[in-house]
Amino acid sequence: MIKTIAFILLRLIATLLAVTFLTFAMVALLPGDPVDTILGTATRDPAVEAQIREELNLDDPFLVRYGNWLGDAVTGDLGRSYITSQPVADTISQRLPVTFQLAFMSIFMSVLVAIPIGVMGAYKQSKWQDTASSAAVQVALSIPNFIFGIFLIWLFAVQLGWLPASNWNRFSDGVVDNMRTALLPALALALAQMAVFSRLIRSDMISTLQENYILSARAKGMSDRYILFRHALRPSSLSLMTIVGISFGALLGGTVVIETLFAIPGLGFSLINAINGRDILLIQGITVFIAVMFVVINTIVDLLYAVLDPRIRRK
Amino acid sequence: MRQRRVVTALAIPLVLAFVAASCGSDSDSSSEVTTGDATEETTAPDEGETEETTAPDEGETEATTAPDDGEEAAETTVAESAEPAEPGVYGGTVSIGLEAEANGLRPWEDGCASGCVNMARTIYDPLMAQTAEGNYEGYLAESIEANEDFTVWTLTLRPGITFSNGVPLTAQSIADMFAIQQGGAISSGTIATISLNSVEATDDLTVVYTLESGNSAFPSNLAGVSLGYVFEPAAAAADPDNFGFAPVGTGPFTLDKRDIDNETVVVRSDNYWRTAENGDQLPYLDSVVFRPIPDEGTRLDAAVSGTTNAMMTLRGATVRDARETDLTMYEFLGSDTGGGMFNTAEVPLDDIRVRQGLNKMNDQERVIVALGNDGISERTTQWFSSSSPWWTQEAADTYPDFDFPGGQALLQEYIDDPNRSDGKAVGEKIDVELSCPPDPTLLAAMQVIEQVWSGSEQVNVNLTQFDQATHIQNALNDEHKAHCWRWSGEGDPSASLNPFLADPEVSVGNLPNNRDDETFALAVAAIETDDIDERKELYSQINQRINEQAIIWYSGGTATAIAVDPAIRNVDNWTLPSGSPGVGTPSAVTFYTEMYLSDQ
Repeated sequence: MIKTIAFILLRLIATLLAVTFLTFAMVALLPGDPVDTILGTATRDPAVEAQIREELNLDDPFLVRYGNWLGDAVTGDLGRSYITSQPVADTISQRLPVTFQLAFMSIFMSVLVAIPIGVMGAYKQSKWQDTASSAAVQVALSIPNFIFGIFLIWLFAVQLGWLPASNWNRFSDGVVDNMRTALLPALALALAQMAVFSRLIRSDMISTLQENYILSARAKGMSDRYILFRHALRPSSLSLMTIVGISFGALLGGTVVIETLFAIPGLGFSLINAINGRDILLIQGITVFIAVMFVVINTIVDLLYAVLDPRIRRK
Repeated sequence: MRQRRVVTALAIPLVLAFVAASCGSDSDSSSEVTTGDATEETTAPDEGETEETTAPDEGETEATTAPDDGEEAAETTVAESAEPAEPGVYGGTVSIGLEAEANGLRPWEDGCASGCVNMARTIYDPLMAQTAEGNYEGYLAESIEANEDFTVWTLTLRPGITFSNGVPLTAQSIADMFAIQQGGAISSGTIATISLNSVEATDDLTVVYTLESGNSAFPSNLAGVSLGYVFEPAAAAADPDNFGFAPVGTGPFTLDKRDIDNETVVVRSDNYWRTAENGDQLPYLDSVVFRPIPDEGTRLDAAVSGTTNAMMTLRGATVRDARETDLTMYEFLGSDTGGGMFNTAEVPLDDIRVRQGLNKMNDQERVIVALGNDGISERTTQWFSSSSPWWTQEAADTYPDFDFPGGQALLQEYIDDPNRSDGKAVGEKIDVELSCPPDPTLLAAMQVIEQVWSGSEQVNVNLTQFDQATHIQNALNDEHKAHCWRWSGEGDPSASLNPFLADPEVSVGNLPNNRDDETFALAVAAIETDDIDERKELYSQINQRINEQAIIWYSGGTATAIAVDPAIRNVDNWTLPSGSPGVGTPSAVTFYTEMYLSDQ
């Protein structure tokens, strides 16, 4: 157990070092100067410009800047945004719950819909139910999530007036209000994921249903429903778990389009603004955080394998 | 096989149905997701400040108030402006969708574009403001006077005004502000540009500004955010980093909540100094909520659906879409115009024949159509719109009409010149790089220009696109050739023109690197007099020279709009404390002091 934990920690540290170094390097290579974002194209006082450059250590060599950042980061100081002057850690802590909730809701909705569709597709393989679900999945995969998002806004906000078109009510503002603002963006994200998850479940389930123990269960007279959800679903879920973990990690930084469309103050929206503004410290901070989350989530997924599959536990 | 045909047959119409609904032309959103719009905050509206350029977009719209030809008369109400602000009703909240979040609310430190200025005007009052006639009158200032050569300005504050934290506003407050502004990222540039040497309080209400050189347009700088928006200096000095989260001004509202990228809420100030003409204590509204919504379509949908009850836009396509809704439109067709510039320090654009030739081959009307602005945007011929008091026919006459053969003839002269500056052989095509940010409408406009230039068989056009930050950086680093940009604004012409015309070695604002001492001398002369007719003549000459030298090109003016629920009143007919009508809503910015909801 200790060995496992040590291995995980080592892997995390190595990943973070690689990610932060590469991110720092790539941002440093980008054309554009954060001072220009701060000062704009207005006439500038050279003394003030020099002072800003000095305060932000912009004239230091790349490795020195990276080393300084790393030294501060290990103590929890991720620096301040060049643009807003807000501590990066504060920005992340304000944004994270929003993106986390969005990612969680979209994954939850996807899995909720994908499992019955996938199971049905496998159970009724080659029948009209499978064909119809395959068609629906293909449509869902074909539609970019932002197009679907625009459609949802048009339908539920503009036409029906049921839900707000944009922005976010935080959990602290009330659960109902929060859910009202979260539903449409989460749904927009969920569509493509639902399609992928359902195909995964279906193909894994088809293989599982051909196993001998399934035949035994049928021979014993167990109901199809019991066989599907009690015996076949669990072993068919291992691939899904992996994909869910990867998707969740990807969503933490990959919701930028949906967050921008719905004007949601999440990590993705903050990240794209930081990139556009060459806000290096904010880019670094968010990237590090996402990298940590990726590793943590995938570790949890690995551990959950053991929960789902007793054979792994015994190993 | 049969299954696959069925699946495909079902998939295609369903996808098309979704796309059609999403991209529909009635009162719903456009399909563009302009993630890049969030960076518009890097630029500032021209509000009498010396910050020259605004977003480097190549001209969005110029609104007329008429619906597009061939379309049904919209249910939209396009409001009649210029009626004085009417007495209001107390209560209610205006929730307005902004095109971008404010970087911060520290006037001396944080760049402030249109969205930010809307916010800032609820918390801070300016010393001066622009009237409907285009001149500047006191807002917090009761009066301002200059000495003979415009080097010393004496400003008298209105008595009895306090900041929201109870501290009295005195002349010393303004002097103390100056100490902070001198070190401010944004203010310091303004101070350097106008050569403001000192700000002194000579008594409780009298402030003396001393400039190194005379500037008749100095009051316009006191209408801008960086120098003119009054903040409580002691509070700012005590915690400058966090002042933007607890700003203290004299404005009609105070900050209640600042959730960056989500909403900023301001609530009525209990001790606001202004009353309406009929004696009503201002403001009327209980609160204003600012919601940054970068996507144009979503912002409009939010206003239509009631998620917000107002929105602002700087995009012609959105103005067009908003006209189709039940929102009341307050459109502003101003001097802010799109276009581009030629880097005169780069071959072959250093040669006037090339610049004039390319300009003659620039079909502005077609570009306006490509931008989706036909019926909204008007052809621009100079730094000012046709409705500006600075516009002249003489300057308009010098901007070339589309003349393809004429352009070809000029280019051919250069191509046949054995001493051509690019060093290429006689007869070889010239090479031009045309660069714009990756906005869908700008791409369309670029392609129109490229097609015409390339169609001459004389020009190799290389189209490049960079994100906005890189696009700006390239301009600042002189790494551009033909470069999309935006010009002018509603403030005093000197604010944008003087940096544009100054020595490029000294002035960041002279992005085309065009050195013309004679034209710059005209610009200097224009701020050495306060005679309006004389200034107008000088600016006319300046525009004629800019046109003749073909330093920049225009792609139509920019219409902006604030679209509101019809219950919201006193949107564009705000008044100054003197009772003079204000300039309206240039760059979709307004004052919220007299605004009210008629359904309260």
